[in-house]
Amino acid sequence: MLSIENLCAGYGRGPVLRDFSLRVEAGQVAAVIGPNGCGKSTMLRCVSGLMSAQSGRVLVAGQDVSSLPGRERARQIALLPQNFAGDLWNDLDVEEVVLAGRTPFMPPYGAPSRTDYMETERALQAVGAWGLRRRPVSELSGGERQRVGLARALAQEPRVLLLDEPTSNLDVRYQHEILDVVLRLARHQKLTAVLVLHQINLAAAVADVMVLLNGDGTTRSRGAPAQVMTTENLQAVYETPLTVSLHPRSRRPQAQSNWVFEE
Amino acid sequence: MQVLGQSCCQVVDAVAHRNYTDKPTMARRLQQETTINSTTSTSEYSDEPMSNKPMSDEAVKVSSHAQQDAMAQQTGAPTELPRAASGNAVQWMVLLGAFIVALTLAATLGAPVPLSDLWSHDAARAEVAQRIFWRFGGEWGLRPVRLLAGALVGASLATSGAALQAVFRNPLAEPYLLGISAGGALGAAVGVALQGSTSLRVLDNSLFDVSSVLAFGGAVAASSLVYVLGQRGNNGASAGAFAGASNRGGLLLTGVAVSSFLAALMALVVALSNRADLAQQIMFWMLGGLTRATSAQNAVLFVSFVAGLGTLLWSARDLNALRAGDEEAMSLGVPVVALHRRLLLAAALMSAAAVATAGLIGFVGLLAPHLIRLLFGSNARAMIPAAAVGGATLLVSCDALARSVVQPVELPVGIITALLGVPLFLFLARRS
Repeated sequence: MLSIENLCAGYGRGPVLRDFSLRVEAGQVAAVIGPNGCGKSTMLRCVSGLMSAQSGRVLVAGQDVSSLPGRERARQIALLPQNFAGDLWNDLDVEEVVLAGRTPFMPPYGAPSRTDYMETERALQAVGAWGLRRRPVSELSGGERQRVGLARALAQEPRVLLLDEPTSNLDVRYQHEILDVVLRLARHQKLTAVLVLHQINLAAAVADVMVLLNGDGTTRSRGAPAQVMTTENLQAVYETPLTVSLHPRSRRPQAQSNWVFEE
Repeated sequence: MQVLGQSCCQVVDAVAHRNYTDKPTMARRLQQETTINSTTSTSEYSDEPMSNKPMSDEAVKVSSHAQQDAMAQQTGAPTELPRAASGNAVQWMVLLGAFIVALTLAATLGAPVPLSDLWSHDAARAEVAQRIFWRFGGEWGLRPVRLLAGALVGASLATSGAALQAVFRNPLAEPYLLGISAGGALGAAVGVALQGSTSLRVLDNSLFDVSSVLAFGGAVAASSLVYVLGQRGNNGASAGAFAGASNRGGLLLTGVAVSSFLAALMALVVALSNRADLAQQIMFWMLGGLTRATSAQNAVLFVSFVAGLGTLLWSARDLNALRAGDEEAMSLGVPVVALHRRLLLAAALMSAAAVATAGLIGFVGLLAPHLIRLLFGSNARAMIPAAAVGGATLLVSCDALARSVVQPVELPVGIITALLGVPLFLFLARRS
């Protein structure tokens, strides 16, 4: 469904992300992990069209999305940015924000159609935020805000859902909740989800495919969580003493730190 | 429905259940709150993104919020019309009422002769009244021209302010504060200076109004300058092509600097020009007022206002998307840079026409959009035209005040708008 081929991207002084490739099928969740500054977010920005790639290409259902006009691309790929709605100076309510997800379907004058309202409702229902629809976004908690962001992305009716650190700024409960929602959306609506995560254990818990990036933006390892999450890989990339073991229940790899703090 | 929903949820739960997690009760609760579409109906969700899917086909587990939501979904209708669709009938009635009252008051207040003289049997008195209030000898009277100029200038400034606020993501952006009006005034001053110079006598007879064209050029130059400086200032290290929220203080400082620079250039034009009346004309522009409005200028104002407003309304969808942030708009397929350019051009066009007619009138572009946003919300489709009417109402009222507060002296209307606008400016600046 989503196929990223040899993507290189950066900001002027050489590429940040080097030769990144990833294939994710519909209904699957991919997680990209790596140390700070390895180009994880750059990759998402590139795939979602916020910046253009230096080389490589991105295919959605076999179609090169960089050749698509912005509106067409936005119907294929939706991005939940890292700090969703953190930059509002108009006080919008939840429904207005989610309705903005219908932008790629609206005419220039922007009168929403009946379908737009129905898709907005559907998206809000799908993330369990329908009850929040009249609330100003500025009053929402971090977890609620992420769900609303997810609803806005869903309102785009995308095939591919990109999430840039959806769990940052959330407490443990909401971290799990939001990933749970993403996972079920992927499975039931046959969405392709690509997550960029800082918490490697969360990534290993939800991902079907993982990519581990080196600090210089090259790819260290790509594959099933068990292949990627090895003690050797993680120690090499994060330069931190870590041990990987299997979670007793999920049988998914989990990393524990062996860092000894000063007494 | 509740029963159906519960059972459906359990089915989906079973599908979704992953044997490796021992879901905590909280996560379970989320599942109950979360609607899950059945796999059969949602496969089309991704395959046919454009299709209009009736809600009734979907086995939707309904959230715990309200049972009537569930009932509405069964019939395929949205539960209730979203606020955005419900219209702003009451607000529009209030606004248009205020506009009509302002026009009526401004038409009658502070005139040397009473309105009733229009119907006087004394031909001389009727003529005076006609020259003031209506038409005489094929020319529009003083009042109609001035009212129209006030309404158009106010509407142009307010619409321009709304556009600039969207571009700079800053509630304090406004043509006067950003120096765009000053750019227009400089252009207009250069135009006047050129008209007087012997070497360019040909310009005097040209079809277009040199001053208006140069005012537009000056306003475009000033807005481009502020835009470029504003972008550089706050996103040198930022990842994107532009920063999310522009640095509010920084933008205004840029505006102040640009304004001062342009004011100095204007003084230079006066000093170098050999036209004696130019200094007086410049003084008039600096203070701002509607006393020099003419029908010809009104025509220019009208054309540029319609063009500017049309541009904004045609961009209403993208303006709405822009409210959530430049990058978010971009990820929704909005060509943000092109949109910014278009909006800046429209804002410059409208402020230039306003300045060429009425000089520097500050704070209308700040006051009107702000008050309208409180009344109408920030949806561009309602907010932009309402801001135009609001700006017209505001300036027409301020002009009526300026004419009638200290009779027979007429105050420059810029004084009144500044007296009203500066407190709001300080309030907004402190809050943000």
